[in-house]
This record gives sequence, C-alpha cells and structure tokens, in this order.
Amino acid sequence: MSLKEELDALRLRLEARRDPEIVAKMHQAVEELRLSRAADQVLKVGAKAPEFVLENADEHAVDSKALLAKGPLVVTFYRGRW
Amino acid sequence: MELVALQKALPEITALGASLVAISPQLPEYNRELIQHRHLSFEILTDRGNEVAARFGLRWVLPEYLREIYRSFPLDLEKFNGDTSWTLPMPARFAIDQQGTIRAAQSDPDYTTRPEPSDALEALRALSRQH
Repeated sequence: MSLKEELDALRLRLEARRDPEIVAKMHQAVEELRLSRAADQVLKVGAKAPEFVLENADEHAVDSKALLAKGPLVVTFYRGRW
Repeated sequence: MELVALQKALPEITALGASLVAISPQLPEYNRELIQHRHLSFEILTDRGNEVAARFGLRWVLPEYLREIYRSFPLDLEKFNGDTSWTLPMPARFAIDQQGTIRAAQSDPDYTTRPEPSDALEALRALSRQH
C-alpha cells in the first residue's frame, strides 16, 4: 500500500468514529486554508532555502549549514505525533 | 505513518549522500517518544512557534472553531508545542542541494495528504547524476 492509500484508510477509520458535525468543520478548515491560497506563499523549486538551527530530541542544536556541508538535505515538516 | 515511510526511504537517501531531518513544532520530549516508538533513525527537530516553517511559507493559524474541536478531543496543542500560538506547519517536503537551493518542493493545505517519499528521492537522484 502506498503512503496515500494508508492515510486515506486512516482518515476513513477516524472520521467514521467522529461526530459528523465535527468532521464537517475539520473539512471546512482545510478548505478555508486552500481558499486562502496559503500554498502560494510556500517556497518553490529554485528558491534559496532558509538556514536554521533547531534543537533535536536530545535538546542539542542541529545546524542546517553543517548538514548541507555533508550533502543534500531532505526536510519534512510534520505537525505532531498526536 | 509518514515518518515510518521516510524511515523506509532513509537507506536510499543516505546512499545518495544526503541527510534527512523532520521539523515539528512539538517539544523535544514528544519527538523523543516518537523516535523511540516508531524506531526512527533520523532527527526530529523542534521548531518553536513554527518560526522556520513560517520562513518556508508553511505556518498557518488555526481558526477558533478548530481550536475548540482539538480541545474537545482532547488535543492540547499548547501542551505539545509549549506555546499558545495555535499555529501548525502545512505538511511539506523539500529537497535542498548543497548550495542551499530548493530542488524539490511539495506541500498541501490538507493535513491528511502527505508527499510520497519517492518525489524527494527523484530530486536526490538527479543531483547525484550531476556529480
């Protein structure tokens, strides 16, 4: 199963357990974000990536410059484990 | 689930000479739990207040009605993220070359959609062919 198929299955399971009114509001929030054209603000191919220094899970600083000195870098933004 | 898919792609990312990091607003203690629970061998970095996400154009503020829904689950974003901003990053993935230029970029306002790892990998393969 692809990641997309797994996520679609998860969404169906979760939404089946939830109050339809809440599900509708959650869909509304996604739709509003889409309509706000927030995606237009996202950096695109060819743009310079911002540098960052952030703490890892052991609370040590990780510098993007140090990672890029070793090779290319894949960055994933993740909202949370909840 | 997305992070587990990335964990599976990690050997190929590493073989292509690249690194992988995840960036999340949640506090290090929750990232630590996630890494242990999902057996992840890449870093998850804490982006307090989604400041880095904002520079990538990904930060959004949850509307009040959505905050109420999350509180009712209960899902206390203030506790997980250690701030009261009620902001989140849109899910996104970037492949960045050694000059700091973005070579692949994917994002979606719909949090239930996540980029497949194959897309970033393709950008890395193209980079490695150039060397």
